Amino acid sequence: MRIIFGDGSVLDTGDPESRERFAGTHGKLLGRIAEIAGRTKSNGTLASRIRDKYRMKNTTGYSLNALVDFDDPVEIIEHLMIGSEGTLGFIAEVTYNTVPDLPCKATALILFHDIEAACGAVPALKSCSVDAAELMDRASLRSVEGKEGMPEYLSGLGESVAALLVEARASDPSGLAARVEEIRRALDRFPKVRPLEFTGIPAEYEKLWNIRKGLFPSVGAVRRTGTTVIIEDVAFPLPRLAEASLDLRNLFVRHGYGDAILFGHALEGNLHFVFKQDFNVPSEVGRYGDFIDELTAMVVRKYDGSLKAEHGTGRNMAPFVELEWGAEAYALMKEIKSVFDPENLLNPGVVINDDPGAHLRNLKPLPAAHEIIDKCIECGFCEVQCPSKDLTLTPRQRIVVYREMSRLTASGESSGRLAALGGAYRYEGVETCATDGLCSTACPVGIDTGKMIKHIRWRETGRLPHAVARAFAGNMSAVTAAVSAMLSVVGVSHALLGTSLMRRAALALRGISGNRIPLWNEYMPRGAGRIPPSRGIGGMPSGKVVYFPSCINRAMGASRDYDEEVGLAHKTVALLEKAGYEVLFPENLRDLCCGMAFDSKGFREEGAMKADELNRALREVSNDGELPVYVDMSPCLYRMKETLDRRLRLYEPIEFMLAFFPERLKFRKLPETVAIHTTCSSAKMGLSSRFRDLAEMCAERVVVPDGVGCCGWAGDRGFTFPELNASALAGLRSGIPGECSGGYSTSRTCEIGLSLHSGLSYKSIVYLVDRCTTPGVTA
Amino acid sequence: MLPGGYSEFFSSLRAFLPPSRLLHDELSRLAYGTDASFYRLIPNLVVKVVSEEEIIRVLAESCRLRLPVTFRAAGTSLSGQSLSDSVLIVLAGAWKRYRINEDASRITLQPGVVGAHANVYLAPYRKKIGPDPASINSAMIGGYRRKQRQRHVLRHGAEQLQDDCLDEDHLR
Repeated sequence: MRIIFGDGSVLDTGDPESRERFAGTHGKLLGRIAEIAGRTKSNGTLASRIRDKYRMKNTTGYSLNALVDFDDPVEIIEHLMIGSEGTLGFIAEVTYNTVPDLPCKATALILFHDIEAACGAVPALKSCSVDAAELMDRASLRSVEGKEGMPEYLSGLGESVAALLVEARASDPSGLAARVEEIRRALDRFPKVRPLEFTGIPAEYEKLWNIRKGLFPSVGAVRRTGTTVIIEDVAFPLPRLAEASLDLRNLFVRHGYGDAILFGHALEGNLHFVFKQDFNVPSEVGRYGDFIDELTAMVVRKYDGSLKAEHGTGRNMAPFVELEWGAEAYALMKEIKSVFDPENLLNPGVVINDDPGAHLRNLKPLPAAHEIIDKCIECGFCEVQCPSKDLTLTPRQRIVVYREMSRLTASGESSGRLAALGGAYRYEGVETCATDGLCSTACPVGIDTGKMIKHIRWRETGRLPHAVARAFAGNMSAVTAAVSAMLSVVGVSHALLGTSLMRRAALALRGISGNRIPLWNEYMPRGAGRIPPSRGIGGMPSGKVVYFPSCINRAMGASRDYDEEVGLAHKTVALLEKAGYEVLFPENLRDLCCGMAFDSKGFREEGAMKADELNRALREVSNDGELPVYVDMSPCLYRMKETLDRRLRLYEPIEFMLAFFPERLKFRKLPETVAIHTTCSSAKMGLSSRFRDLAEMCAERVVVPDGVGCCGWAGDRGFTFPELNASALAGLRSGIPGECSGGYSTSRTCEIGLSLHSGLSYKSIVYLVDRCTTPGVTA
Repeated sequence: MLPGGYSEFFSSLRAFLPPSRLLHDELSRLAYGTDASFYRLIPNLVVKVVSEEEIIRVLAESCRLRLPVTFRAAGTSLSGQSLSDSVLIVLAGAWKRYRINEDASRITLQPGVVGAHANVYLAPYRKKIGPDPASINSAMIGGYRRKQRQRHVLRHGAEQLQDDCLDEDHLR
């Protein structure tokens, strides 16, 4: 472990030299720690109190067991640091011992007549090799019953039923069978509501685990706007778990939290409960305060349990550390804090806090702001997904600021602050949001912050731009032709001027235009030629497919980095024909567009108009969904699935090729390393791993660069706000091995940015599939 | 505009940090004033650091000027432990290095690595890290060390390791 202390000094506990250096500069600190540990060990009552406390899961206060388990002060420090929540120092690096990831798993949802019976079976379970046993009370099960994907029998259960969700893992099937049998025997004597049944089928056990995963969101999603969701985290001695769970339920009811749900890690006696809480009115804050007072008293006095088993003390339990540990142990914790941080400068108020009401102060308001995001509890799960996280704001932060602006607007207070926030929000919040919606895939309640941003853009679009947008929408053929022609001119200039001159000229032009002219780069496509009519293949076609080339691919052709001069639409037709298809196009193709380009900029009506036109044309050419429709851009396809008639059988390239090509084409793995980029739309459709499957049919080695999510190109934002794309793809180049022959994706615009920031030529997966297939059948 | 000693702190940090990583405008302070708990504290200054060297220099200055600091990785903590009304030090962008020893019995991680990513790195070896919190897809190792202390359970309870406990031996 590598630690940086408050004075800036460094200790690497795994490095003898660093230890020695530290002993030289911080001998006094080490001496004090050794002295405290010695004193603690020789205090028999205190030492055994500490040992007793850690028989149970516990994260309340500092890790005092470090004092009784180790003699070397450096080792003591290392273990004190764990769980210290940044109040003793900063851990710059840590080494974990890994555990085996056992591939064979089986899960059972075991239903008991009541929570006492469920808790009563836990000690028997604990004697087996069991990897998890999640307790869920009736309120928990009720919160998810009837929802999509949940087992139907949940709805018909009795009023008091409780469940244990049990998982066993092993390295091979026979080991797993033995473990399942062991559990079955151990639980044989306990009466159950339904016969015990384990499943080893991934789809089935994932369904069962989705019950557990759905609990917290289920409460979050139904709460009243303005309230928050609180999750508590206590632990009891295992033999008294049943009694404690009943006490908790009574406590909920007494304080008006009757709809709380109770669940937890039964094997550790660790219970979580989730309830809704309003912090906007003093009486409600008081109710919460009273509840916590009684909860802490019960957990500590009646059960000698833990007030925070996993989540850490933080500010929330800091006022109760002394209650849980007793005066002597708490004094020890304060002494430890003063040794490392004598002036209380490291995360003050956390873990150690002298204010008995600290847990009721600095409460966060969650005012109503916008129906799309009102359910957000600001958990931050969305942040890692966001392409603008290192440039401007994350989805959570967009919501936080928008809420405050809404609150200021509603209350009329401080118009200066509102103006300051609003002014900065235009760029930080609105302009640099890629509206890709990946945030929704990580959100426990599925919030798509991009949708809120689109809504803001829609609200802000004025009259004049609407007129322009409508003119564009009504003249798509002219637009794509114009773009295509313009790109061709630019492409010729590129060929004449070369890359570096062209880049300088483009920068100058963009500067003169006040950043309104899109920034050129060397991966900009040339204009696409006209879409070829289906030529028909030599033999009889063995099927028909409708191909809708997106407006992007009708306008943008190959770019200079392509190794052949064939635009995607032409390449796609050739590939489909090679697979034996007769290719049909919708009528008036030149005027068709999915409408996303309008919608994402806030031109909602124009977007809807285009979607409607496309819907009619596709229904007609596909005989109302009889023929499959192939779409060559994932983002367009995604929008089409959301907006068009459900009868249409719409296919994304990855989906289509995996579904139909193996029986129509012979794949041969090319001796190459290729990189792939799953677009946000494909990811949202759950195609990330399937894209990999497809690429692996085509090339010997497939690379998915680490930590690259949404590319941030966002339709055309890559042209107008190139810094978003640059920031989102900052880690791309280093994630691509030198031997990579090419990059592949399913969105022409994303590919421009991917090429630019990797130096590798990215193009549609169609080009790779075309290269590695011949007519025939893949075995 | 920065209160008290923060102005001097800001100036001394400007000597080695670009302005884009020293945030004190109204919007940024508000945006960083929240974590997954139900508390809010608005920092006076948000400092984005990309290296250990920078942290050392920032701490030397905050220590000299007696200014309280709080560290943040993913900000997914539930009990209000990654908030500050003074200086919030945010691990920005970097902090994602890792190394795996020869037999994959150990993995060394920087605090910015997301838990689930560590498991992706270990998957080819059929290994994983011990902790398995509900927030594994978003929470970063920096916060794990704060949250996961259950390894101690084992030492004294002689009980079997379970679910999201950290084994005594899982962490060195």
